[in-house]
Amino acid sequence: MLSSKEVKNLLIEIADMIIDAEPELSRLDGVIGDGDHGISMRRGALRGKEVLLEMSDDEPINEYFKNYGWSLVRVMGGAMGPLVGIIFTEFGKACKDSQGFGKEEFVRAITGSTLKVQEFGGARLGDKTMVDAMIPTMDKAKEALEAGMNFEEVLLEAARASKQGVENTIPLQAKKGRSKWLQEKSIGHPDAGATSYSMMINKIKDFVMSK
Amino acid sequence: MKKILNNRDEIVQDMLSGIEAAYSHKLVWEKEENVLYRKEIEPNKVGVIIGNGSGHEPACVGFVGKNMLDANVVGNIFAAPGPFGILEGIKRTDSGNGVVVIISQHAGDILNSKMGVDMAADEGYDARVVIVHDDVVSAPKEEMNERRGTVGTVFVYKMLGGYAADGHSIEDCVAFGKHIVNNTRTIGMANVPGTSPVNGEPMFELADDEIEIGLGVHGEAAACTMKSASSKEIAEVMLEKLLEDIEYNENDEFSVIVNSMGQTTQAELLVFYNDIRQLMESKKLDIFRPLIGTYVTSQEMGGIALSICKLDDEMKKQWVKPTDATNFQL
Repeated sequence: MLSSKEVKNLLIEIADMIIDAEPELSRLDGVIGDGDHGISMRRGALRGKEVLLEMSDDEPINEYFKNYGWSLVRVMGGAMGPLVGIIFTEFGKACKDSQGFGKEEFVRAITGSTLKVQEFGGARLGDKTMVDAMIPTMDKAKEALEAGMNFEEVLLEAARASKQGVENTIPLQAKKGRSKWLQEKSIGHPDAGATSYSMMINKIKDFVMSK
Repeated sequence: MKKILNNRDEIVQDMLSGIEAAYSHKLVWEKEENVLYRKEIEPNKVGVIIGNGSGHEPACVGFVGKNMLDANVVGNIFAAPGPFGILEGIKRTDSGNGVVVIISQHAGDILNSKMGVDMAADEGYDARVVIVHDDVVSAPKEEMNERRGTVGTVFVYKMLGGYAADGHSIEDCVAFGKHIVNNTRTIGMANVPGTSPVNGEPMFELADDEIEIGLGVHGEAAACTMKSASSKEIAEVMLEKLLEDIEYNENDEFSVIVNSMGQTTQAELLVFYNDIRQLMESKKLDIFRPLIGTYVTSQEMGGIALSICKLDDEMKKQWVKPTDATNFQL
């Protein structure tokens, strides 16, 4: 289980990772979009990190997630702000009355965020969006939890499934929010949103494993 | 583009400044998130608000008033306001009984309004959504919940606003809102495209001798393009599309909105209404207090949206209740 301070550090590491990944995420998004996914994610991460650094190390765990998520909503704007922000606010909700962030909280968090992203954004499995990484991650993590695996094992399963989810987007054609010819152009490349989601899940795994 | 504007990046601010200057006796403009709300909201009632992109005036700034909307969260031109705007709208109108957030269904509005409601819940507010999906041509009847929201929203603002003012609980308000939506159907037509004030471009293209039936309030693709026709012929096509989509019996009562999309004159609206009236009479359907005028626009688009709402006694009572909203006049 992660303590308050560790959750704060985990989120800072996630922010740093996203900041560093800007060129790669923008490149992926540029294949079919306006290439601003990386820039927008970086802007959100920079502000989110600032907000975290202003917080003390012993706040209720949910407050770190919530403040980080709200920062993303605020500075990213557009459609990505709420869709990425809701992931973190759902992480917050999942550990509202918890003493730490463990496997139960993790599975509740990714389940809540997967359902909310689908409800708010309207994307379904196979639309070539973040949801294509989110659903298999949620399914595998739930299975692992129900099978009685420990936190590390649950995270390993989730991380592997999220990578597979990203792979699955490569042959798909984008459906949402893109023009027809851009939709066709999207075949053969992984989705940028799915990629950044998988990066985040893998970062959580690495963070917990290296503890 | 020959629109009467100053800086095109400041249209929304300039417009809200005008509203503040003209109507400060009844409205307040919260400038951080562009929430326009009622100066004196009755205590102990459920709040009723909507967030929407601007460019459709009088919708929705003109519908903030007693027995109608308590607040309108104003987005940029044709762009939904963000979640923080919705959150601020909820905060400004909650009197401890919760707030209903009406959403006219478009992807951006759903995403941002739902996120705002979610954030409000995290802050301890009881906010619920009522989604309006009245545009019959935007999806088939089996997928009614996927349809776009359009001019039928005005029925919801008025009736739900009045109902909330009677002191009903938030659960009852949500149920009544859904009841209005279930009984409302809308179809639009255009004969002249509007121009986006942001980029100066026409919102779609249309030959001089053609009209489009079934397009959305932002000029979203229409169901069919046809040669110009008389008001009576257009009325027949449009009314038929609405009536084949809703169950009704002889002598049912409907209210009707005949809405100008911006450029269409009141004389044309009245000619068209007269045709609708005759068609409905011939089907033995009664019209109760029609709303005829300019309510939800797409800039200076030429065209009419026809919206019908099948009424019961409670809906009739709320529809005719007096309001001081700037742009609602039965």
